[in-house]
Amino acid sequence: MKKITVSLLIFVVFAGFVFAGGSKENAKVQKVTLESSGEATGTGAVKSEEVKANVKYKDTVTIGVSNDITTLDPQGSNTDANMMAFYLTHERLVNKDPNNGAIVPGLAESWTVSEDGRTYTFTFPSNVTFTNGSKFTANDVKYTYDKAKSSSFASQKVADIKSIEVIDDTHLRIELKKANQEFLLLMAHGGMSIMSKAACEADPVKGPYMGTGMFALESWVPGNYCSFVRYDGYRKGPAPTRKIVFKLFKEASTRLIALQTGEIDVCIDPSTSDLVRIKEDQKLQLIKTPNVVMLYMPMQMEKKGLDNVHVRKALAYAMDKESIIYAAYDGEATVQNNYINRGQFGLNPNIHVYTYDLAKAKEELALSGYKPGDLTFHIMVDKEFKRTAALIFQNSCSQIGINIVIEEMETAALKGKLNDASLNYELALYQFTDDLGTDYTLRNQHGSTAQADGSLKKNGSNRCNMKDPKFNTMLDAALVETDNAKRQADYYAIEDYLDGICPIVPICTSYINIGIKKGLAGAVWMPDAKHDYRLIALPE
Amino acid sequence: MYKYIIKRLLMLIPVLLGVAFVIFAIMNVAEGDPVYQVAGPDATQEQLEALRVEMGLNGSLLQRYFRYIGKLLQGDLGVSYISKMDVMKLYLQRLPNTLRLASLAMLVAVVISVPLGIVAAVNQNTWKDTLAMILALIGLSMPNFWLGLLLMLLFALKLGWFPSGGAEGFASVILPAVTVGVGLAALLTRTTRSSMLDVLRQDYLRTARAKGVSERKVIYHHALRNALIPIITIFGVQFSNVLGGSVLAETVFAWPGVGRLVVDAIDQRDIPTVTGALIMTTMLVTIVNLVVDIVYAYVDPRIKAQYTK
Amino acid sequence: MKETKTETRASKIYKKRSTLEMAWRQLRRNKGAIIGLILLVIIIIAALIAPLLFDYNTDVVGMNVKERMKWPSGAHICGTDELGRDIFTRIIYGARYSLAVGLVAVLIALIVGVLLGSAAGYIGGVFENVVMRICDIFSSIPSVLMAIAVVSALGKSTINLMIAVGIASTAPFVRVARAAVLVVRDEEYVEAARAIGQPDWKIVMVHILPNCVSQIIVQATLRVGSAIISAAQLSFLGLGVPAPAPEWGSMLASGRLYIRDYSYMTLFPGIAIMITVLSLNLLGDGLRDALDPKLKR
Repeated sequence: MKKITVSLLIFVVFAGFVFAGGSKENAKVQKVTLESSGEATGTGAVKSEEVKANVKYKDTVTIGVSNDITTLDPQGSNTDANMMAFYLTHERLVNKDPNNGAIVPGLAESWTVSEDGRTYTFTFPSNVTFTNGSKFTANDVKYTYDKAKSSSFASQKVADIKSIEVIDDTHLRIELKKANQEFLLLMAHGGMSIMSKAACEADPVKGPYMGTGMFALESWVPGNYCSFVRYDGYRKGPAPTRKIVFKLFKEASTRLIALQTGEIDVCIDPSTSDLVRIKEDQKLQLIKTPNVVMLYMPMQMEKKGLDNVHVRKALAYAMDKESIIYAAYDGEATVQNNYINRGQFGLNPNIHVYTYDLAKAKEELALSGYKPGDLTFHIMVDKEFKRTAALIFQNSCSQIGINIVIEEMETAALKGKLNDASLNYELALYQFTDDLGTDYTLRNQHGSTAQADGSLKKNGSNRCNMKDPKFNTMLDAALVETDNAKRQADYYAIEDYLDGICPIVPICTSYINIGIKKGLAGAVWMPDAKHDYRLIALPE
Repeated sequence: MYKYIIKRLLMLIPVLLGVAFVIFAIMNVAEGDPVYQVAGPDATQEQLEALRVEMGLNGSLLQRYFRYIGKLLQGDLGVSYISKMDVMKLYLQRLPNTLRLASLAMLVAVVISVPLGIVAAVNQNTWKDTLAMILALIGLSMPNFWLGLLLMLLFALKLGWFPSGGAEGFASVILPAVTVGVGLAALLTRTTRSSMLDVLRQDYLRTARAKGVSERKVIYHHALRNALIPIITIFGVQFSNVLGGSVLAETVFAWPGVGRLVVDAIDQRDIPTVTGALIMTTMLVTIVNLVVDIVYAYVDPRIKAQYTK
Repeated sequence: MKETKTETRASKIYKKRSTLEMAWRQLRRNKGAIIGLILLVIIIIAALIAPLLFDYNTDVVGMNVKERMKWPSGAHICGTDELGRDIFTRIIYGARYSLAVGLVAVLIALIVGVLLGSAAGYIGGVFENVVMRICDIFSSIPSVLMAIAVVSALGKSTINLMIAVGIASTAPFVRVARAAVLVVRDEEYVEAARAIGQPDWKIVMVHILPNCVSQIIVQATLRVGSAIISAAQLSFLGLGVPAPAPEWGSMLASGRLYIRDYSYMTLFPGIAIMITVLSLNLLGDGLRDALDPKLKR
């Protein structure tokens, strides 16, 4: 008996140390308050303090990120993590003003549009250089946009371009197949970053990495970090910080700890249950703004079971959005019932709501012809909190007799499966962060294009695989409608139509949460999570 | 002696090829056509076909296997689906970290277990012995990642003595090394103890004692040297387990080693990286086992005699 | 002839009984082994009666989001997890998964391993060489990595987990079986059996294998322990039993996200694993001491 007593004693002492922390107040539902350390703008972007000329700033700023960079080729992917890198290394023809969402000059210093809206003529400055010092000309733009046609990620955006004509080194004319109100908005997207023709032709793999931006790639260790150094020859003057490092921390708690120990200067996406720590820490500051990252569940409409509208409606009624917000976001989120994002033109304020109602869900299931226990669906999720949301959904569905199997995978793999042309998935928990125009959103999310053989193929971000000709027609009509009031009514009608089909279940939008060291200046925190770090600087 | 080495080296080759085949076959059973992951949603059929050839996905399993081996012999493990970086380069970037972790873990294990095992053997059946054996048993029964979590909780989060993750500085390797080392220490303690017990019983020690050699010298000089032989064997064999255990420790402490490379690659469905890393790791283990066997054969005079006739 | 046969049979039975009896007496004296046995029996009983005590849907996976993240208290002995589920209930229920995976995986490894190993030892020649080389190959791959590879290839499910852990545990059984066969292969009574005309497989089953039963039992008991740990490891990495099943390893994985403020979530599942494996190790050690007199400690 002696040996048992001894070992128990040791164990108890050890355990005592470990759990001496005591209990903590249970996370209550936090009331929503908007906090930011800079000025919030009309679009919800938060600008940090201005970078001042007489202050000495640190040489390096390290940003802790949750998603790894997967490529540095602007036409090689659409992921947010990569976009933020492209904003540093490349430039686009035009940009979106974070203050009001308007289109402002980027690489192009000015442009004119023809009467019929189909021809754009751009003028560039003559002193633009790539980060290796070589001169930029309009040829590089033509090269980039032509190349985009063969990239599976970027071709959508240049689909409407009929021809590109290089007038001279600083002038370019682009002619579209039809007038597109949102053309410039598309050209502001990170995937349309301008690359160097010479560099790409010399090195097809690494050539695209170089742009005309304020930084150049220094070194990239996948799974660990990616660092960028300042390009001192930037025509508008060099950036305040010499080196920016994106350091990967997959886990939110580890990332936050790194911020608290000073290892990193910015912590993107801390876990919502840890936000209190940032607020209590004197050396840190919390940036918080409502985001336009809409969490939703697409339903692959050509899979057995999901092709039945009543099954889809049953799943919609089984989505307990309130509990998901409570458990997965610690209460820090807003329920979303619309099919387009908050702030987009034509958002229908009176849209029908699929409230969490298990009785209605069972009714719909009964109407579908399937019995409880017949159906099993797989749902794909990535990040930690999405798993919690999926577990809640799984539980609700089990109460109406639909079995849900959860498949967890890394974000990149999830994207891969969604992009896989075989479309071998059923449900997913995914998000979209679109503010590139209502038509672009609806067309990409739910639209389809006629192929040469007359069949319809789903568009790029159409995760629900919806192929509805009537929807396409309604969209096309709204796109060319010049009367704004009527256009708005058109979009209301489109949303109502979508609601009847129920291709996705919108869940919620939440907050951009970022922990930064006090005094961090120059960054612009965007509600679509594609932050602008070009002028970021940390005072010494 | 050389005959033995050459014989073992020759046997190594089919084993390595077999290992590569087993892993290759397993990884290629995974469903889904990886070409879509790389291509993107709007690729045409021709683009897909061209990409398949580029990625080496055409042909039967055997054809792909031989192509893979051919490239492997040139040091080319293919390219990651996700980052498009050379897999061999990715692996070699991470390998030093894992080796650092593994060697420190083994050091920790030896430092803990050998003295503990000796104390237990010399004080057989006293409370010292029982305590040592109970600790060893607990160490064997604990899942090492749980120990890692507890260590992280106590020493990193609550006390702040060590960092809770990452690879900055020397302090960051201590907790992961202890995590991996404890399991091995538990095993080695038991082995040391039983090995010492066997040897302590031997007659030649009685002779030494009768001759007046001090007890200390009896234990350390005579007994330990002979007891070490089975310890060294187990040690070598356990390298494989240490590498396996480091996979868990690397995950808990976000240590940028080979184990985490494999786990991350699996999450990303990055088959070339998983295959390449598994093959390289297994080859490493096989070679280490071979080296240990040769050293063992050299050290154990019985085997040495067999082969130097 | 008949008398000799009866005599031999009688003496064999007598020998067997006394070996078993001796082994049991030896085991009873080993306090550690008895403790292990008692613990194991308790755990097995808990696993078996769990469905009678708790309803899976309401108690184990039923969520009560308002009750989430509560520290241990009277109502919840081990606290609640991030979805409000009672951790104690889940741990008891989780014993079913861990034990099931451990037992089935080792059973797979045992059957396949013993068949291959004894065949290898008996047939010898090229077949033996090939089997042993394959065994070497499988042993070279660290078992965690092997299991990871198999699960990522076959997909995540409880059955695939059993297969993966089983495959990773087969090699030791092959070796044990082969070694046992080699020891008695050339004995006279085997030759005699062959001379009578007994078919090979019968010879192996009746004459040879019973000799290694004790070693196989010891190996199996110890292997169940490491199989349970392997299952927990894979679940921790996200490759094990799929959610919302209350497997101890996955409970540790979810608890890890909240380790800073809710450390209790990482304590109890780990203790459960440790106690289960400890009991198996204690029992296995005791069995080894009792059944194999050559290994004096």
